[in-house]
Amino acid sequence: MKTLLLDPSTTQSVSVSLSKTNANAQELYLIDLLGKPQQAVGGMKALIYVRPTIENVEMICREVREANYSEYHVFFSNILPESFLSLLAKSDSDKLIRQVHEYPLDYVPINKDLFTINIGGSVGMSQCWGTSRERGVQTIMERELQGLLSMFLSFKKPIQTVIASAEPACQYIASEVIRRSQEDDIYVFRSSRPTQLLVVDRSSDPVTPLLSQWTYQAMVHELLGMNNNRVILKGAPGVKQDLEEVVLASVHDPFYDANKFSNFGELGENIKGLLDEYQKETRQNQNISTIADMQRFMERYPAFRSQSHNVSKHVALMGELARLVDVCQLMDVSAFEQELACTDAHAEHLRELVEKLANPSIKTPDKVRLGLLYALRYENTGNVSMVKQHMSNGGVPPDKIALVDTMLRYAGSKSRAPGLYGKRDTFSALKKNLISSVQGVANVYSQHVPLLAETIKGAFRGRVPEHMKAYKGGGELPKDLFIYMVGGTTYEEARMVAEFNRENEKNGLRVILGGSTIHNSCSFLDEVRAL
Amino acid sequence: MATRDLTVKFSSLREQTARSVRSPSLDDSNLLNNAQGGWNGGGHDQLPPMWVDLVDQVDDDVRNIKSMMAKLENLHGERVNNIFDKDLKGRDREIEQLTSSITGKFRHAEQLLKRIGRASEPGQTLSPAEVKVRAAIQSSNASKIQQISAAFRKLQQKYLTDVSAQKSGNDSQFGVDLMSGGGGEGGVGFTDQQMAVVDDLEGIVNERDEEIQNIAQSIEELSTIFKELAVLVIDQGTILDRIDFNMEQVVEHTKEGIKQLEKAEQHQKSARPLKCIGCLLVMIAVMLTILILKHR
Repeated sequence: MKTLLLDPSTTQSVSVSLSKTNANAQELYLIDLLGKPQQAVGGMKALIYVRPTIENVEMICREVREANYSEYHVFFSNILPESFLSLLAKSDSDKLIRQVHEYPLDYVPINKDLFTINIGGSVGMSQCWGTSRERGVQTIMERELQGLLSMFLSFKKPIQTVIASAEPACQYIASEVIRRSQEDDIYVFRSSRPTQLLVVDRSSDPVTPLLSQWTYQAMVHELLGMNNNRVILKGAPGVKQDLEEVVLASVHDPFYDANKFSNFGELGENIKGLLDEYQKETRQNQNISTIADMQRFMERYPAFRSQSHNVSKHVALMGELARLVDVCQLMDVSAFEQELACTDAHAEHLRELVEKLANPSIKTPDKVRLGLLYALRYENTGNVSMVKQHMSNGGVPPDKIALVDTMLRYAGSKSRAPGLYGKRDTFSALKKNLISSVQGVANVYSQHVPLLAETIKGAFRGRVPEHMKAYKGGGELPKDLFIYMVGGTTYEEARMVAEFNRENEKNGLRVILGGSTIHNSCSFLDEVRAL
Repeated sequence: MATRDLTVKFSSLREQTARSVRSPSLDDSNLLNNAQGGWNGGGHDQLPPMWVDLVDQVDDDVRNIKSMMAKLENLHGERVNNIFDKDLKGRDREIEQLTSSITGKFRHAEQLLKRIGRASEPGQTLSPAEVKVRAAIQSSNASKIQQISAAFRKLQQKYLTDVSAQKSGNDSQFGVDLMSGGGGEGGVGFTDQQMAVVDDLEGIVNERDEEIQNIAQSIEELSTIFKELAVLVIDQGTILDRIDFNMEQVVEHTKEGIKQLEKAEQHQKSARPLKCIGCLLVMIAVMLTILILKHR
């Protein structure tokens, strides 16, 4: 019988990968926070899995001295500094610690190719560089570095090539990753696949987190908020009590795994299929007449029960999403957002924007997003102050209007890396127009392609944008590309990466995307506002 | 995942610090220290509580059931394949016994699980941690047993269908025999020989029926156990199965508890009851004086 003691950070990473049932099956019967007063249950061993911080090490020392458990097995989620080890050794006079191990997993894995450090406040890191606020972001930076390094360890990949965007935070991360990986020989791996790390900044693409999303995972995050695969549905009308908080994890939910990147329309159809299947099953369970039927029912019962929960979960989510789309007129808003993000047509856009801003049935946050999208595109050519005036007439509070200026300071054309809206020459515009008129637009709501797509393609061809600087290695084209987005990534980018990986599986190319956190428009604007 | 074992390094560090703490000159004191250390270490190993024995018993049961099931599967196979075996009855009895003892073990394990949830030594209050541990043990063992019992029922069912298929097959076989025999005699009556065959067959059929009934019964018993266990098992993939959710729940509960305690303290502190008592006392005094004055 064992107890698992965690810290708040490892709780997150363990929770997304291990369920309570799994843990119980491994005889981990008690899971608790390290440092809470422990009640000794006789004959139990303790397993400690924490980040190697001084606070945690001190707590372990105290715990070992108190000796609530008969033995201790200590695991760290990252590289343990030597001084901490000797601190532990000093406190363990009764020899209760049986083993000390490093199991680097200092981040939260969300999808197969998406991870997050789950640390907020990193949007403004580059802006704070060289100012008095630099010290405040140092701890955030340190945390991000540790998470990123541990990711290379858990993938067993060497850090061969490092390319970073021009922002100071990216440059710092790149140089530190190289320096630290050279100090410890644990980072040396043999790999036949050339690996590249690409560090980019959120400010190079402020548009993606502002757009409404229409694929399942991204949409749930944008409209309901998803925290380590947990979604809170409490407060939604007509939600049963056992669905007030639900889990959307690919591991236990094959339907979600198959549909997390499906768009809203496909999703509705697939959920209907799921429902039909369930109804068929229910009907089968209803006509029980013989003992054989009863036996068959008993056999199916557990699977049936979990299926029933799963179906009602997805139906509830879908219902709530559909309600929100309807209430906020998102179809309308999103179509215009896509226009603003993808095409250049100032007079038309301005006219529609003014119309939308005056429309009372469009919600304030959506008006803010539209205003921001306009300001970002027509920062130099458009009439931003007039739009601000219209925003204020449309009922947007002044602190939200101030966001426009903050956003332009954060990611305006002067401060962001070039390339967001493509090259502004007539030739490329003509080409783009031609392509879209020949192929037609597949889906109005998913025209926008994140800037990252371009960067990824370039990286695999060995052509990175000019503003990016190669720090180490080079020469060989990468097969494994790790992208780290300082300031947080989005589920739309994650979907794009997943799609890329699926298409290029046979070419043997793979992208892993990571970020300080995973943004929706709400969390992104909150961080921008704090700048 | 690239992992690194620091245990060796840690042990040597621990040795070093231990050596530097102890006086290096006297071997005896060193020994004494060692002994003390050992004793101290032993002191922390409290005796495991009573219910740990129950858990061990459940584990034993599970292990037994598994080995017995393997044996039963063999027997089933032999029984189905060798229908012309001489010792059919003995084999059947063996199968029957084994089946019923497996069912018994299942019931035993289930009862043990229930007891794990309940049992506490008299005069002892359980710590919340212990309650949680027990609940966890209950649910994990319940799902384990559920899995095995599902496997067992599948095994039974397969045997059942095999046997009944054989039975119907045999019947038709013998039936044809009888018919053709009867046809030869012109349908007047059965010969003694035929009657004997019929008697034999009836005996066999009855036996088989009994056997099938037994198996059906054991399946039914298992399904009740199954149902009772299902309550204990947590569904994978629900929020209840999330580690962080469960940890937060504890915090919530603690907060709630603290709130309640504070409320209770306030209630205790509040002067309202005291005021009431005082008021009543004054009233009583007033009434008494009135009474006394009246009766004077």
